[in-house]
Amino acid sequence: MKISFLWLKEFVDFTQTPVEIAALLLRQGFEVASVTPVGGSVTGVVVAQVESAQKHPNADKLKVCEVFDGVARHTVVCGAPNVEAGKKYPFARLGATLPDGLVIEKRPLRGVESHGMLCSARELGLGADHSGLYSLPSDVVVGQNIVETLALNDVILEIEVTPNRPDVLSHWGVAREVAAGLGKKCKIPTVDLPAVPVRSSLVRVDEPALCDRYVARALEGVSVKASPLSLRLRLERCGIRSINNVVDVTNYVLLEYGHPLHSFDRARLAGRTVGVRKGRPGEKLECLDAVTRDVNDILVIADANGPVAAAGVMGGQSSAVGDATVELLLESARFLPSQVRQARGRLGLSTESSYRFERGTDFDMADIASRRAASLILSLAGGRLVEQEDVHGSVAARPAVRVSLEKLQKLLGLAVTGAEARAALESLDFKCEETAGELRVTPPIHRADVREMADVVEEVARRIGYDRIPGRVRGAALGGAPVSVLRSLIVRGRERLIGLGFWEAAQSGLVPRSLWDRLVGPGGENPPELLNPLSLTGECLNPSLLMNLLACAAGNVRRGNPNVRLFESARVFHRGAGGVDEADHLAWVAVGQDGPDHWKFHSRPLEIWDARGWAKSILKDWRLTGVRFEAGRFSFLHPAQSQSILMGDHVLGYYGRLHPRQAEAWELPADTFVGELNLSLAVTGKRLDVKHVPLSRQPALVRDFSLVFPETVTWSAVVFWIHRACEWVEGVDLFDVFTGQGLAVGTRSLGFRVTFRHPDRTVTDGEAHALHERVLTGLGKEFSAHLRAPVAPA
Amino acid sequence: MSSLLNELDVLSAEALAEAETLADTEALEAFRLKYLGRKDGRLTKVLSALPTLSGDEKREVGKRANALKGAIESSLARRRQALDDARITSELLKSKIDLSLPGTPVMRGGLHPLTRVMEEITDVFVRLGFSVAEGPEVETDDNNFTSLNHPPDHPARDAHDTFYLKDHVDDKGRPLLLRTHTSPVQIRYMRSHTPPVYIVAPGRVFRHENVDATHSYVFHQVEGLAVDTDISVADLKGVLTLFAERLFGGQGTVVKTRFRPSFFPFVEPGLEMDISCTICGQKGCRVCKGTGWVEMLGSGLVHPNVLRAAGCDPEKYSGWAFGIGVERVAMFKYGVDDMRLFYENDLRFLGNFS
Repeated sequence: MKISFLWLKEFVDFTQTPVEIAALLLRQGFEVASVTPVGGSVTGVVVAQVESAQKHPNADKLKVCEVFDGVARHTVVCGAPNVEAGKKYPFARLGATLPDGLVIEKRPLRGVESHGMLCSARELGLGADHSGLYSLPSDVVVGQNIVETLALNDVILEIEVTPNRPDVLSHWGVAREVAAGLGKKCKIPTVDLPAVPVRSSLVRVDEPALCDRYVARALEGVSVKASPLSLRLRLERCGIRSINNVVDVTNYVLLEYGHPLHSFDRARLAGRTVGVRKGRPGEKLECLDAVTRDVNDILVIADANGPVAAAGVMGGQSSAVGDATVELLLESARFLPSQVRQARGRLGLSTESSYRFERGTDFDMADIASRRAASLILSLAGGRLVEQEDVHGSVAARPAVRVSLEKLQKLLGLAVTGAEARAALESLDFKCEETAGELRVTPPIHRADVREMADVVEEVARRIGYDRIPGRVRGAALGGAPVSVLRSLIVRGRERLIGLGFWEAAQSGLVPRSLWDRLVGPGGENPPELLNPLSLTGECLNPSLLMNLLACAAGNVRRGNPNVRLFESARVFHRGAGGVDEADHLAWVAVGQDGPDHWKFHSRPLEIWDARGWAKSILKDWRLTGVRFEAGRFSFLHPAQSQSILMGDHVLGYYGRLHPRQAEAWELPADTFVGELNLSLAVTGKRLDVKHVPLSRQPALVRDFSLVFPETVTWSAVVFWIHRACEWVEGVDLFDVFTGQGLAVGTRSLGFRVTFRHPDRTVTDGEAHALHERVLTGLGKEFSAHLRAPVAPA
Repeated sequence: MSSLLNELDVLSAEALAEAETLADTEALEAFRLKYLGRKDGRLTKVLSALPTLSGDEKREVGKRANALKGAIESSLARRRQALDDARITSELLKSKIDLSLPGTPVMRGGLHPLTRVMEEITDVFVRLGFSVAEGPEVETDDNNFTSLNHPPDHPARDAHDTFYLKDHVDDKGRPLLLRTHTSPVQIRYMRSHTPPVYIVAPGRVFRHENVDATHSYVFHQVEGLAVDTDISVADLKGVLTLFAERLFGGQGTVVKTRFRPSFFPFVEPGLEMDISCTICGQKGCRVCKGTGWVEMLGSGLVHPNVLRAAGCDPEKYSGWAFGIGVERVAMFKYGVDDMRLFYENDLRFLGNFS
């Protein structure tokens, strides 16, 4: 909200600068976004009238003007295209200074001496307009100091008013806060209106619950024209366009008192009266912005023919005040905030009026503002007040708020005295009575936001200042909760992946349906969707972290980084039985080589074995039991180079190479590997305790084997068998896999080393021999394995 | 006898001085022969004259000559070692390499800056004894708004442009929504725990607004809540000031805080905390817009309506709460000028934070 500093000063006497007032308001809870002088520093510039403007004898584009400044006549050479005899302009006399530092001196222009300068808006520091002279209206007084005429010394404060304080949405409202801060009282303009008959025929309120007061005043014989310059400048500087003197007055009072008003051309009201009712089916209203809107079920002001205004939001064209208007019906009403809010939403129209009605207006102010507006119209547009009517319900007096002084002190953490609290509240026009350690506080009518003790506590704190309250540090009661299992799995997963060269990514949690379809194909699961997505968000709640990771990886590749490793831990969403199921997932993607190109050690493309290693490494770190790997079941993964990870009957996740079609679709290279784990499922699993296994001091017995197996025999089956069948096995390590030359089709050779170690003693030669034989013959029997060739000693 | 002793003195001085000048193995051998040679060694000669001497003299000269022999031998050994060391060194230096060449790259990634900041914020409170709480991102209108003292049709809801879900409604038939702040965790936690309650709740939140350098439809917050029998504004000020000092101070940087009234429907009184601008040291800069202060977080005493909605008796308990925007803090701490960078996940950007 824009506040004129000079206007504010009409309500409170003070000498503080705009910056000091801004600081005061900030201390009281109102941020001031900007403090902007309307014009520059100007001296010696007055209103002058151009009496004649002749073509310059030596220059086509210049004119030689005779200018009267109220004291004397001056010859002035002027190059502006809009200079015209008879008009009034700002005139810089000799010796005048302008905001850019220019001092006006006598000087010849193409042979004619110029005694001063007629000014453009820009030359006075009023914005950027330099297309011609600043044209003044005819009613300004020649010779008047231009600083006064144009209020050039005004400063506009842009104040942010929080939604709980509609009472501050005006100059008077801000003035009340300033006055409280400075220990002063506000001066309110007095309004004298002639006594006129009170009628009961101007207004009919059919919806008293939605409109608890409607003050109508009827005027006759007004002459509608442009407002005086000073009024127009105030409106424009506060962000409201000037229309005509009547409409401008209603807006002026809105800015001044914060209460929205509306003026109807009474002659254009069918039946010359108005009613307040709900819009009926099919009823439309052409609003003042020339858009016709459906007003069915919206609170409207209507005449005998139908709606003439959307109550509290905007008036209608049919009864708008224009140049031909001579009769007025001035509305000052109070509408229910929620009603105006809904209407504003349905009409798609937010106005200065709706903004204030939504936040709440003051019952008393409806008449005060009406009187002020009527009196201003009478003085600016002439005419006379002929009738008035005030339709209203009764306002229940609000009970005083009872505040125990002890509780006040306890909540503030400060031993504030009863006298201090009273002084603070009274400065804001609250009434206070103190008895036996209790304050009975009655807020003024405009403070509807103060309802209970906490509200009063804030008012006291606001006035005494938070600086006075000392800080106190007490640790929380002992007994902070342990780190949750979920948190610890996330942290460990993250650490593991970082150690493997992955960078953590962050994403929005929203994804376009098209990306999900790309990943799982059309006809896949329907993720939860948004009712009101933005174009850039996508319409689905993310059912997998993969899409955005793939998109980010592709972005990095496009930007010239061929090796990308990204991971993320975040929520994913699925449609569940009772709503939306949320689960925390951990997912990763890796693209390219196993490292950057190095001058000495050559990098190699990533392989499925890397992906398998990463997945195993995370699971090992989590120490989950009962986890097994099965053939891949996800269509977006390479069918041979992927596996699903299962825990019990549930899919815990997957890892593998991205399907070549997917890689192409995401514009990623074929060497793209991914993995994802469901953390919320993982926390339900059983985890092994960390336990030290005693170290054997005995020497190890190491035996290497190179055996040919049918290709259908998996390595894990071999390892499992050896562990089960032999004693003292410490480890089985694969060092060679070979197929091809010299081997029968359908077979492969596996080279591996078995390490045996007895916990308490050396394994004897005999036992060693027996173990070796057992592996050979056992694997032969179990898997039809046979010796390939002796393995050369290392 | 004195002549022999004099000769030994001369011999000693000459031999020990000469030993230090020996430059190679040949010189070492020549030196050894010169003094200790079996036949013509100068010391050998002195020693061979010993039998001709009388008892006392023999003992004295013998003792001195043997000592000198030992000294020459150890000189020789030392010299030999030095020469050998020099030889090996020069040998090794022949394979000198350019050690400015790149070393083996270490493949290590790093945390996202938002995670780093979120953990730093959370850690300050955890060290004070707060517990970490979390809540769902899909919420009900009640938890996100009404229970937090944003009744339906309240203008304060305007500050929260909201994403709603299709096909999913709460038990009152209102659409579910994406939480617009982490504050619903306050309600959830208080409903399931009896005070004292001391929690921090980090999380992701959503607002239905378009994206620019300082706005995003997704961002992160950390919520804090303390509810106990005698919580006051003094507690709020004390703990949040300590928090600001720990998060932004250190290495000689002093951080001041300023509390001023503000409005958030779920607190009363409501306070905004500003911190002194650590970028310019309060001299005034672009970040603090010349004011020397930077808006950091919203806070206040928990509104009695919120306590009631969450099943806490405001007559018995009071509380304070705060909410802080993680992106804002990260932008301020790390000098990031565009919020969108956090969600692009450009490796060059992520690499700045490890």
